[in-house]
Amino acid sequence: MTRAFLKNRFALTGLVFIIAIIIFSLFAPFIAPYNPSHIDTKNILTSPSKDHLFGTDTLGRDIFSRIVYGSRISLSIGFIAVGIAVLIGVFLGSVAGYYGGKIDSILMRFVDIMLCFPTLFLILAVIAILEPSIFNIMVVIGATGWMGVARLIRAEILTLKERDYVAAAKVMGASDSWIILRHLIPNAIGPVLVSATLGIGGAILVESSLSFLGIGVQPPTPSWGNILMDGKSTLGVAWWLTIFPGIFILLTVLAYNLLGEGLRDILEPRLKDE
Amino acid sequence: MNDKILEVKNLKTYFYTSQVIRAVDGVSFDIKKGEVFGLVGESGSGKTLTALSVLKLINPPGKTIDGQIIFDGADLLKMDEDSLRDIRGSRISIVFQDPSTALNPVFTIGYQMIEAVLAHQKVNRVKAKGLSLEYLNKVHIGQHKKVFYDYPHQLSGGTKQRVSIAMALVNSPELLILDEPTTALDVTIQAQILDLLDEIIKEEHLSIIFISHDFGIIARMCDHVGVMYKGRIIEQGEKYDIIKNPKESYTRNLLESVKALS
Amino acid sequence: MVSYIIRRLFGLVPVFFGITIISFFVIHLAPGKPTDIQTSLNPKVSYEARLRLERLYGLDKPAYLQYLDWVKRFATLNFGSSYVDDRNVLDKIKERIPITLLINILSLILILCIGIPLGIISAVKRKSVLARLSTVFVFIGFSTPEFWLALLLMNLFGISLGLLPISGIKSLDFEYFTLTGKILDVARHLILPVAIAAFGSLAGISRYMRSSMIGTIRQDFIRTARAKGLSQSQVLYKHALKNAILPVITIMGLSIPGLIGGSVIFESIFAIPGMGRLFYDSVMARDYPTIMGILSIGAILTLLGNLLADIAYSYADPRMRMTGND
Repeated sequence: MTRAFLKNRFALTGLVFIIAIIIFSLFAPFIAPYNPSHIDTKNILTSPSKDHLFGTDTLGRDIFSRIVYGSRISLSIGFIAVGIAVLIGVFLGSVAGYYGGKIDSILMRFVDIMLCFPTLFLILAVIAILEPSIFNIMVVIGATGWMGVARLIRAEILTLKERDYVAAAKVMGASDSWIILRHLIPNAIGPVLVSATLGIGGAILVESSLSFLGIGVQPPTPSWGNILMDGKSTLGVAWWLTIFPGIFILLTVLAYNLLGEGLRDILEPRLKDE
Repeated sequence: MNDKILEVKNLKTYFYTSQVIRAVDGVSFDIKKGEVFGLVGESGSGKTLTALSVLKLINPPGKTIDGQIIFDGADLLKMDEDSLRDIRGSRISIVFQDPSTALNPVFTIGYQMIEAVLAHQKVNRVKAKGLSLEYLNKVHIGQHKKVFYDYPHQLSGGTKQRVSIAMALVNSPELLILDEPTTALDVTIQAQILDLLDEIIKEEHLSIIFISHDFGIIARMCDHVGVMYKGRIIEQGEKYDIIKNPKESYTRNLLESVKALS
Repeated sequence: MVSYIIRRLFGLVPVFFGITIISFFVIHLAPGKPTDIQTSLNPKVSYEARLRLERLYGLDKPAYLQYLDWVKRFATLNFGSSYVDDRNVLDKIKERIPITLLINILSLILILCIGIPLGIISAVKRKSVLARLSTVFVFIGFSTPEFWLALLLMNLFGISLGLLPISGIKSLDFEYFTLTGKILDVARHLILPVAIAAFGSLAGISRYMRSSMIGTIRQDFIRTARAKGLSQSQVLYKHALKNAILPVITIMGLSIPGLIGGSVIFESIFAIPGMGRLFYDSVMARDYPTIMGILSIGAILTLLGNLLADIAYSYADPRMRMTGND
């Protein structure tokens, strides 16, 4: 399978870029020339120069440094939020798929109900009530994004649980949770992996939207979204505030999407035709 | 005066995937006018693909790369798409194996029948409807007037297959290809459809290519037989010759699997 | 089909209750009473206002009574009065809904008119330049933050090129325009917001249409259609399309909550006085009654949208139209 992975251009490109951006964020202190919170009132809104690669913002802070440190925030929020969503989704979906019957109906009804709320509305409402903090943001994005994963796992388990090795395990007296955890979930994980990868991209988009609106990561902590917040008020004057953070968001999410689609091609082979 | 309706010479259809699959590998046979020619073999022997190649309905990654298919003096493989379309469904028709997937689920039976007529005959809709009803009746569909307005999912397998047969006959073709027409049906229905086909063969003066894996059915319906194995015809001839003196061991095995023939 | 609709409507009842439960849960997420955070930080809120609030949420009653109260109020759409200006929440929402609905409907139309043909073409002419371009477009579409695109387009069309207005839905001298002038003025103001609103979903729908089309073309009845001697365009645009479009209808229904939620973003960027903008302002001001009101109405709109999509689907697919008499 590693061979198939290496042959798939999408997945490869995506992965390479993701690794690059992760390294970028890990080595932030070494890469960033300035302290991202360092206010320099003498250099407000300067355009990109050799002193300030991406220019400065309304408080004179170096945008390049803010973007470098911001990558840590945006990436970790994306990752953990999706982690939470996958945990919730895999748990609920496998229980629903395995036990079937009433439990299944109730859980799937729950999924339907959650899907009725416009996600951004729900997230905004909850964060408004709970007050924005990085932790809250991660949890809320995760708690509103598990539904797709749940459905996927449930569908996989519904087919897998009829397989012989499940019957064999039952005969040998394996407990339900053992069967689910050791036999079913590992085999069902394919589509979930795809969904999770694509989901990280989605979570990064949501977080940056929240931060842009002012209800996400609060300054001075930099996040790609809240750097763009200044971009709105300086429209037309300071193009660098808008262009650079946006490009980083675009490229990172694109990388995750490419990786996800590539994984999908590998893990869910369809009849290849011209 | 050529008494042959179809001459297939050295037909080769290959599939180009990670390997090259020689699905039809040098198949040749002739069909006389009014004859019922049986193509028998196990699944995967290339029977269906041979039939599809005749009508040039092979999709990529498959390609017919060699051979000639002479119909009415012209080589079908060298024909342009427009002329081929004139022939498909009007001079050469085909009935497929699985009636439940062969019909479009969102159009009524009547719509699909009329469509078949209007594609080839310059008549108005009223005449087309009349013709459709006539053929639905010919295939002995009970309540054919009601079925005309039905959707495929409302009908049984047997009825749907009758519809497919009617649709193939409505433009009075010269050659009818039947690809395992009874395989997907219940045994009792199978017998009914075969009776219907007997009747049609007598009434409509067609030439027929009958494809099946069941030698019993082939023996019942056909005059000449070709035995296919791995993309080639390994034995060919009059039905009784083959049954009495099968030359190939494979043919003998096929015959043995049909206990009725002794 | 009628029986199907009735069954669906009955199925909505538990969903409706589910929505009330979840929204109730949301209100009570705040540590302490929902009133505390808001009011204790806000010295301007008088003692009377606090009492009114507590009575509104029935916080002085036990939990299950509070819930029943909430259900009653939800059903009658009584969301109380806004903290910000003390006006009835429902009235405030009613003023704003038309604009939001207008923009969303227009963007749905745009998605249909562009996304579906794009998907069909990339399915039918797989190797063409257009198909490859649309794949690129789709990937970029999925990856671009909507608000960023909005800023870019505002910059380009509004400021640099000066072609389109960048805020509000009317120009300052709106009153002096003729009727056609007024319509054109609103239209000009709406071009960018509708384009942004449509953008994200456009990519998704065209991709979905493409895969639906590809899947349909592989089916047996397409082979039958070709064997009947039908032309390529008849086969594709009659037989294949009519089947392939069915799941797309469902997907369009499912994209409605996304459109409604997205209105928060582009309405605040373009200063459109719609429901999304009201929501954003309420969130910023921690105006809980309005927040809950819009959240609930958003859920109801989504329900209605899905119902409409389901009805459209059951009409289009003959297998649904009759309760199978097989």
